[in-house]
Amino acid sequence: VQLLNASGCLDALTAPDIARALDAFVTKTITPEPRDGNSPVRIAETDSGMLNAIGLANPGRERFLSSTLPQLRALGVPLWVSVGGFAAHEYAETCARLEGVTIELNLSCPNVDEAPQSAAEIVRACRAATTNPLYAKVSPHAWDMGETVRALEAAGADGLSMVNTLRGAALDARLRPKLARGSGGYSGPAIKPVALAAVLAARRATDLPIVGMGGVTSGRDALELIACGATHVALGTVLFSDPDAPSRVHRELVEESLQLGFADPEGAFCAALDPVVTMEN
Amino acid sequence: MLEAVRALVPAAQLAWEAPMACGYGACYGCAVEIDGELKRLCVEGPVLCNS
Repeated sequence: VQLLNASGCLDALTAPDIARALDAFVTKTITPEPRDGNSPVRIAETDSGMLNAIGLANPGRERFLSSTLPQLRALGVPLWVSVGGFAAHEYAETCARLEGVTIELNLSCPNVDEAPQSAAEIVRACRAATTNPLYAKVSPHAWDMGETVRALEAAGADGLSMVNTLRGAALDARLRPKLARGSGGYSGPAIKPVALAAVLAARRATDLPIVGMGGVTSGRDALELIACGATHVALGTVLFSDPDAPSRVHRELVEESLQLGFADPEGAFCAALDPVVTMEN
Repeated sequence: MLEAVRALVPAAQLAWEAPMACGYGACYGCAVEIDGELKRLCVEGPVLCNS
């Protein structure tokens, strides 16, 4: 089981040692044009989690390709590039320019006003533009996760990443939203049950690889996602409070598996599902 | 208050505050807007010279 970071929660260039402790590094989402992001205040702490409304701040496709990507390659860590946009062709144009990386399509950012085209439409356009592994990052707000997942698979996705943040809000003492934008993406330990349910529902609908994420802070949390059908696990908010989380979660994951009588973490794959299925690869 | 001091003393070095998540420039959470430009306080501040 590979351990990754959640997009936007780690900068491999300023924290290369943390990135090297992961099996692959996922970049912050890249959009065609540079973006400053939303007006501050952009983050707020809540009970059992945090809110963010960064708004896809990034240097834009051209600067990423010419400057950031070569530096990331030099780190020697397998790379996943998170690709964003506001129309299917924007996603596809970025995909067409990427070589030797896994692509994760950010189909579910809660912090921009522009509504994206349908997720499956975007995946279809990107599939036509690249032969690289293509993962679709899914919103936990999908009404019918099984249907969503089947549509993404039919559109050509090689894998799924779930879940992105949930939309949430927090108020200050004067009953005004803490975030300038009003609401933002809710992450952290509070959303783990949402992530577990999403992965369970997706696993019942597909055999595709699934990167499970949402509120993982320990090896036990990672193992629970694996038991629900995740083939990879990503760390997000925990990286802000514990930069050592990658190596710690790796270690705990192995210990927890052994304690439960599994030879390795893969042994717990789909343990929460009935009937039992086996992990591919 | 910082805005008021800034108006009085344009060259002041001011220590800004913002909620901060990662603390090393990754998350873009602690950005503040100064003269239309967004600065990440963790790597560009927290003390910024107003010029």
